[in-house]
Amino acid sequence: MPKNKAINLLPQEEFNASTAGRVLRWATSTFRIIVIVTEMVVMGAFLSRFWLDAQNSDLNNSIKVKSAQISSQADFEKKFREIQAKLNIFDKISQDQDTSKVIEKIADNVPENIILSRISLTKGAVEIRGSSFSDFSIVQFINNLQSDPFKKVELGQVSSSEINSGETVFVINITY
Amino acid sequence: MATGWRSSYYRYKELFLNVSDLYKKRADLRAFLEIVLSIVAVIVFLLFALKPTALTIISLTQQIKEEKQTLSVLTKKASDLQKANTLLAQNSIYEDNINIAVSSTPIPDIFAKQIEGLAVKDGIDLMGLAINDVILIGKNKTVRVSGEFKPLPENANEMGFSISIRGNYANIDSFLRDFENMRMISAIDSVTINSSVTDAGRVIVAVISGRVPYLGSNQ
Repeated sequence: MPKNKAINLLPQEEFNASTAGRVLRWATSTFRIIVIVTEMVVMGAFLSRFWLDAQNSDLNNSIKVKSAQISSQADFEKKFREIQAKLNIFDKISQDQDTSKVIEKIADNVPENIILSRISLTKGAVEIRGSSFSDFSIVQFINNLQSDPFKKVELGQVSSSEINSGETVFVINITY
Repeated sequence: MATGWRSSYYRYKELFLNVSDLYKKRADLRAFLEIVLSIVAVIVFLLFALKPTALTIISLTQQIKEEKQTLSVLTKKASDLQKANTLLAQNSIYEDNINIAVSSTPIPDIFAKQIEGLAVKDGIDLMGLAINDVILIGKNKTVRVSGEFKPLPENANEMGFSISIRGNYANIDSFLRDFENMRMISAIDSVTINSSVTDAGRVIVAVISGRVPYLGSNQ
């Protein structure tokens, strides 16, 4: 018995059957899809613009409302900032106020035999002028000052008093 | 002219008919034409529809992003102002004290009165009180620089002063303490205490120099 052979009775175009024809057929169908997809993307982009425009407009309105709210409080803001500035000024200046403490420290360390004639305090530096009949007291005074938390204590000038013989006049420079 | 036009017409008609005939007969030509038309369509869509829309969308998105940031900053500021309002209302009793401590305008008269009051309280002689030039009415044309001294905080304006007092050391010391703790704050730049012997006995004189801050119109 001869085997049955499958015979395609439908006429087939020569080009469709060829490799080039198949490739072209595939290309045309794919390009169609590409065109459709492109159209869809374009439509989507076009429609999304409306949504973005609406969002933009809403945000603009919200910004206007907030700006108006803030503008209406401009006077209060100015007043509050002024008070903040005043508090800052007060705080910083009061933290730097140490004049009386420095003078108190110096006064507490003066030995009995020393007479101070001048204390001059400017910008973190103190100049002390004094006199004493005892050199030991001057040294003692300097030692006392050095033991206090002053940055630098220097004996600047030492001379004999023109008024009282035997009296020593001195100048001490302190940096704090 | 008429002959030339007619001959051209026939020539082009023949050409188009030939192309049309070929298009009907040849499947490969049909397919290629479809591809070419598809590519043209895609390019037209991309160039004239998608590109401008995409650019607009990018610009809008950027704008929306910036607006959202602005809105968030504004919302925070509005909220901060609300908090500040509450805070100020809670502490309104201290407002007058703050305004006396650091005034908005120079008030040399009140300063002088306070110094006089302190002198009486501490039992010292107020030998002199000098206050530098200040603009009482009107705007400062130039911002004052503190010269050799450290500028005041917050770039505040300053009213310079110099106080000369005389008394015993304890009273001068007490005056200095009270002056530092005075409600109307002032930055003390220099203090000089001089002791000298006169016919009347030992005399202690102190000179205090400093600056009283005020906000002024430039704040």
